[in-house]
Amino acid sequence: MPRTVASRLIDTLPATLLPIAAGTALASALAWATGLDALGAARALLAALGLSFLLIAPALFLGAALGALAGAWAGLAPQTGSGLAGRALIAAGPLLPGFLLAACAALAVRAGAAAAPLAWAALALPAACQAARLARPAMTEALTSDALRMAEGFGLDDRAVLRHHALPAALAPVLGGFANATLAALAGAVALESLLDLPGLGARLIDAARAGSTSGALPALIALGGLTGLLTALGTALGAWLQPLAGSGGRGR
Amino acid sequence: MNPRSDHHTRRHGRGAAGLALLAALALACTVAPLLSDGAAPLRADSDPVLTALTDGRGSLSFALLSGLLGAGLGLGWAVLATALGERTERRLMAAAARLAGLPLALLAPLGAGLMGGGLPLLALLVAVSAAPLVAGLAHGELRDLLRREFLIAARAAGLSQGAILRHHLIPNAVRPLLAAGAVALPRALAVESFASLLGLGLPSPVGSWGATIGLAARLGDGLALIPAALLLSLSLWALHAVADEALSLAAEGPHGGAATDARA
Repeated sequence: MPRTVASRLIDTLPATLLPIAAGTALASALAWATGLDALGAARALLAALGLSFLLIAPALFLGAALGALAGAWAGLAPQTGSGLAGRALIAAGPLLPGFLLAACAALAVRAGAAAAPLAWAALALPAACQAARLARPAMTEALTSDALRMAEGFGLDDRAVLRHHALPAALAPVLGGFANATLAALAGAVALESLLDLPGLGARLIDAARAGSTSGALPALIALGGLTGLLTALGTALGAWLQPLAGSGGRGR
Repeated sequence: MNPRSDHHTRRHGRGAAGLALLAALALACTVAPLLSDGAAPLRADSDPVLTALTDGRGSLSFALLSGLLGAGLGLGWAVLATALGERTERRLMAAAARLAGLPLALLAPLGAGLMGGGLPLLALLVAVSAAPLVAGLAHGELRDLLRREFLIAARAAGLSQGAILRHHLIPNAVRPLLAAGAVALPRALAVESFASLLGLGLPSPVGSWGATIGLAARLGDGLALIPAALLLSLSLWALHAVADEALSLAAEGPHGGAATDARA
């Protein structure tokens, strides 16, 4: 892993891991205060956190990456297949909130469909729509920028100009809006876990809220806040690592 | 027609379509109970389309109420931040940015569950979840407005603060602030539907698309889910289209070109 990503993660991870640690400690302390197994409570919270992470992270990262590429392609060649896919994602964005897709996925799972692929697809789609919506105008702007014309003037071929100059410029706003995609995926995951009775952090929070248990809801809420920060930090670091990779070849030429 | 004006025409077309769709949905939801054969309270026996339309009254009216409340909170936040000096402004807007990065949508189901629900509490929680976003947008618009040349010229011409406020700032701020506030409406509808889907939103006598979708997903009833999901999707699209158009019109300024003083 490049040094920039490591240093970025070192900067941001403590702030995101702190709420997770605080949530776990609170769950443990509350269990101890009521005479329950403190270590068991902490383990249960971390297990729920792990499940929520596994549910959200692959869908979020893959959805954002594919959406960004499709959106960039919609700016570059709107009439091609990938461009049309990007435009469809942009148009579908406001129509498809994560919790609604989660409900549709839950319905399909109850009808006998496989749970994991449907759950990931339901959580990936809103992230893809948002990434496409941000990437398309950025790509359109990058294609008319002075930097691009200068690169062409230096004799770089179209593919190199696209890969090393236009694409990084199109991906930059997707990184900026990654926190919103994380929030949408989180809401979808909470709905999905609750509707399918998955033992994740979201279901734990909603079950505690239904039971009117503040001591059950508070540790889960704090840990969910930490999970949001963790996913955003990982996504931003990953994107910041991919961006120079796309641009590095141009510098060597 | 050049690509830029073509893009603007399409965006304005979307805004008008969104407004027309919202009007049609509001009308359909209002007259739906008249088309019912009296089976509406017996949900299992009722027509799912009519049930979804009847539920729309609860969802749309609550979204309007809590959206307006959220818009008011957000606009008040931004105006207060701008009026209270640079240091307070930085702190208030940093707080808004931090809050906007948190899963505030969870506040509504959580608060409704822990504090026993009730419409006023739910409306307040939904409004609070929309307010930081509105505050950020409105603050950006206000800062942009305060940097404009016509205000500098008015100050240089020796106009009093009150005159500047009455004749220049307020008339020019109304449109961008209303546009920023419009963003709260789709957000309010989405958060209410999310909370109702989890069974922690609007109380059961008040119908809601989210509650119907949640119940249908749990029972595996696709016929009940589809009309409610479709109407919710269309409403969200329409509200987003109207808010996007309002923001785009505000960015264009009062005369359709670069923003200029309305009274110039």
